[in-house]
Amino acid sequence: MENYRIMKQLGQGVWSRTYMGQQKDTDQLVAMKKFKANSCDEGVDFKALREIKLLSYLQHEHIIRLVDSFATPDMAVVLVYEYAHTSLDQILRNRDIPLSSPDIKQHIRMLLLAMDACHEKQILHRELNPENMFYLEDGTMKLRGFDLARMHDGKPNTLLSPQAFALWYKPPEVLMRSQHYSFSADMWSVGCIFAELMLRRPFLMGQFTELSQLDKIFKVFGTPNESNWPDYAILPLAWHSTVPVPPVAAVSLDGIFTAAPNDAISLLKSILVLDPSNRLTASQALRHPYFSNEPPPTPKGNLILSSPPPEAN
Amino acid sequence: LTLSDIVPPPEFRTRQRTKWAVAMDWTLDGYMDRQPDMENRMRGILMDWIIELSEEYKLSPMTFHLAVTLIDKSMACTPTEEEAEGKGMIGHGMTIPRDMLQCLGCACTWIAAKMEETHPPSVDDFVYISDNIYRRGQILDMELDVCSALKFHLQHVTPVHYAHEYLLASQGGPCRPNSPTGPA
Repeated sequence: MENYRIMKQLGQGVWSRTYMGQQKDTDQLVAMKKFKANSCDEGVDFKALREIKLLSYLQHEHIIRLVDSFATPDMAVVLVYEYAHTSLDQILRNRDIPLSSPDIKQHIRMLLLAMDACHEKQILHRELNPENMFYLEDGTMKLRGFDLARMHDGKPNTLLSPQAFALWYKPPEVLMRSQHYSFSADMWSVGCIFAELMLRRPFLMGQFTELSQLDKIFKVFGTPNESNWPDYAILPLAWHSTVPVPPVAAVSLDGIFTAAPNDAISLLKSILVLDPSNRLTASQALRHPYFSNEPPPTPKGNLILSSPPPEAN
Repeated sequence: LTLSDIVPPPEFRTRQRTKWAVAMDWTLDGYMDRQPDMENRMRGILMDWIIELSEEYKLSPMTFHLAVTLIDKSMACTPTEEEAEGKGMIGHGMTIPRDMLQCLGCACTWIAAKMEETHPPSVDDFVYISDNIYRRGQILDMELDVCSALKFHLQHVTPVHYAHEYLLASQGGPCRPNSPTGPA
């Protein structure tokens, strides 16, 4: 702790608080996450240990870098990351920042690169949303929020908790309480973020409950059936459900994303697919013609990350 | 996952990192000399006990080998008295008294289990399995001491990683169907 100057609190989570700080030696800005030390019977927080482990595996241009970690005298663990100036959430909400279609292409490209790196190392992120996409001053996107991430060997019998993902980015199979989801679950969230970039508002906004979120999804993609999702019937929620759901047909995405170019919609359609086994993987998505077609993605240095002063924050 | 993935985090150019680099430089060669109260055969006894403990709590080979590595590294990262005075490193590393060796074993296994297992044992499990010779607080303190001595550099390449790579290279299957050979 003595090596850092705390400047201000940035945020507060269930298990941790985040501060903006400065390294005393180098004046380098850092983000510091302090895990709460209230449950001292558990010793050093295992979430912190796992995050240290995962981030040391994942060293990538688009994944946040762990700079340091230490324990404070009151037994709390502090993880120190490189400092990111803004998040995609802040960019999307700031109406003074224009988002052109080459900009969108660069944003989603950086996200897919990060995702590809995670999945290649067999790490499921499980909490993708615009609040976890941070940007350095030079426009480089850095993925954060590995609190819920875990190693996944890809074996279909591995049990995973459905208690992950933020509601609006939660894939249908997880909403249906599947415990065997895989990397394709992250891809659903990627698709939601892609849609959000184009619409400039969250795409599927369920109201507080998982059922309402499922309802939102089915209203756009149609209710699941034998042809669009063959494995649907064995998911726990479908298996136990006694209430018949009136079948709804899928809506065409072209009607929702009227301003989007055709190749973007084609990519979106191949990512946001009900059946997880039919979703594109991150590396397949990166090879989609959308990324080679004109216009090329905006160079990341030219991305506009904040509105002109005085609205600096 | 390949061996090249498991490299230490990139050096961050600060004096603090440099200190870490020095602290992590200690070789495992003859590290027992750095622990005035320790003898070679004690390590063997401790490891036998950790094997028993791993069987009792059904810990994976990955956890066991990481625990062993953490025990060795935390004892090795300790400067001898002359080194400590000569290089201004007093307070670095940890000197383990004989009667705290088993406690070190508990703490390192606990850290490894938290990193590798889905359901790691609790501190009370360790108090129980070591026959109540240590209080919870002692194990908790030891855990934090290990993390600090190793500067939270807790991810290490262990023999399991090599075994897995060799098996893959020889086109064999994974070690055993039910033996998690780590993250790969």
